[in-house]
Amino acid sequence: MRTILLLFLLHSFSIWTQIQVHFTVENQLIFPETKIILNDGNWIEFETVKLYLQFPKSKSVSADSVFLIDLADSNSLILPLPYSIDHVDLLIGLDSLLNTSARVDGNLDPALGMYWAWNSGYIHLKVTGKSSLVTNEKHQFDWHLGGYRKPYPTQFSLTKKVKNGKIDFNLDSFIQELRQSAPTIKLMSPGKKAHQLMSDFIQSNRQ
Amino acid sequence: MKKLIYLILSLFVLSSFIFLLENEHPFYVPQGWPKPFYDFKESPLSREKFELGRTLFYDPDLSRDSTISCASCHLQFTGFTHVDHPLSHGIDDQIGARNSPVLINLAWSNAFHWDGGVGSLNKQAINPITHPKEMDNTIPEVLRRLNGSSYYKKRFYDAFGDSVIRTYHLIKALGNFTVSLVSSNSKYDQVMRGEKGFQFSDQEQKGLNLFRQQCASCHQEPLFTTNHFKRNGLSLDSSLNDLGRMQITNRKSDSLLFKIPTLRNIEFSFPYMHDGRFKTLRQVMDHYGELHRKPKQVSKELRKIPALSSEEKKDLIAFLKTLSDKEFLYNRDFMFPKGER
Repeated sequence: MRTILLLFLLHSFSIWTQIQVHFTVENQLIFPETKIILNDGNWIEFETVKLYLQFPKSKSVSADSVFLIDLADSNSLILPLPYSIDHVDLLIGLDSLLNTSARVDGNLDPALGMYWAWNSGYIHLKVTGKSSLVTNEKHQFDWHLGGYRKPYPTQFSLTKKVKNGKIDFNLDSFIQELRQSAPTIKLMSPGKKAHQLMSDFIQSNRQ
Repeated sequence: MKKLIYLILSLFVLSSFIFLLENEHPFYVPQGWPKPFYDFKESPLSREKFELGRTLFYDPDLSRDSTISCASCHLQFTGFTHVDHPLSHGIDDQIGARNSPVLINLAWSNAFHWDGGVGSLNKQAINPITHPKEMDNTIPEVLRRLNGSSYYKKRFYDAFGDSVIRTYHLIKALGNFTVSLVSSNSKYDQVMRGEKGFQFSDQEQKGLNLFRQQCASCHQEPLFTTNHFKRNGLSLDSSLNDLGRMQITNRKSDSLLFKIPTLRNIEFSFPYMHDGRFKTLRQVMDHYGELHRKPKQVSKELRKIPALSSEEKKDLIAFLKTLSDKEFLYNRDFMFPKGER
């Protein structure tokens, strides 16, 4: 009986664990619509941070295998993982099959604001907000990054270290974009620039 | 007595047959046609879903201010497109950037819109519902309205067995309706099937022969499209700046490529082209008859079209009119659903 109980407990611990997802900028935690003072004295405030991710080992195209991480939805910031680990392999964005399939259930529901109706496919990473680094009147920036077609797909693999049951995604690459002399502050279609911004985000998050 | 029993039995069988016919989903694959692209396993058909999709198709409550329905731009009698004005007319009297395409034989299409930007018939419905110049609504708002309607709650429950209406119910119901818009009973079809009493006139036959020489590489029978994208020599309208397929793929080589439309019911689906610039079939013939003068501006299939004589143009138009399918254009199954709510 004891052996069975022990096996059951071991089995439970090894199969399910959870990790908490955080977003940061310059090592500061991001909270929705909360101003952050950057290292150079500028400020930034994020209205939306939403990110699609999949686990590479999931061969199913079931919508259940798709996670939509949403800064504004604390439930979405907890990822169930299939085993105890110190790192996690992720696919950021959705594969072309999910982008083109007729499925719209679960996290693929277009009602969640991540679907492009004019150009079938999903926004893989949505980052919007305001910053003093944007010099227009409203200080607004809007990045809707997506696209699955070659040569500019925006799905990337990424390995993240798990520390104390947490993983962080930093948005520092977007700060770098805003600090450029002619930054892109609004992007809402797939293509070269979306690919580059997504690639910069991934590069900034490689560990 | 025996005769009476036979009569009652016959009436019973007949009424059961009529009941079954009325409850059949109207989609069918005409004999000899290719396999449809539509995924019937993923979106199974049923009469309830079809009828629900039909009701939604004609319901302006899907738009922001409840004034525009799908049928506003897609009228059955003209092949499910609008007529008269070159570009689509949407909410708040706004004018879109394109001529609304016909909705015909969509099960055999794998790319929707003139630029092929949408790859799934079901998902296509999201575009007009949310487009700011068409119905300008949001999916959450549409779902809120539907879930707040006892009429729709019952209709969706009957169709999907779910007491909560979700996005996939909405688009599958609409897909069940639009996929069934099959047109395959024109004079052309009747002649091709060898039906008794149907034959082409001399002019129509000449037109068909010419069509097969000059037009069929893009407008392939029996669908009268290959679903490919071609550059057909139309100059760029600087007021619209519509680059077609390039807007989706970002490839310069796709500049001014537009989807080849089906020619079925072309007689009634004027004006023509992605921006509705031609009002008559004669203007279309005049355009294609001039393409040999500008070979660099057109796809290779179109370069070989020679100058067309006035008689040849008439022959071609006579043939194109044999693609009109009145049974489809006036099919009661597709009309505004009467006597509801």
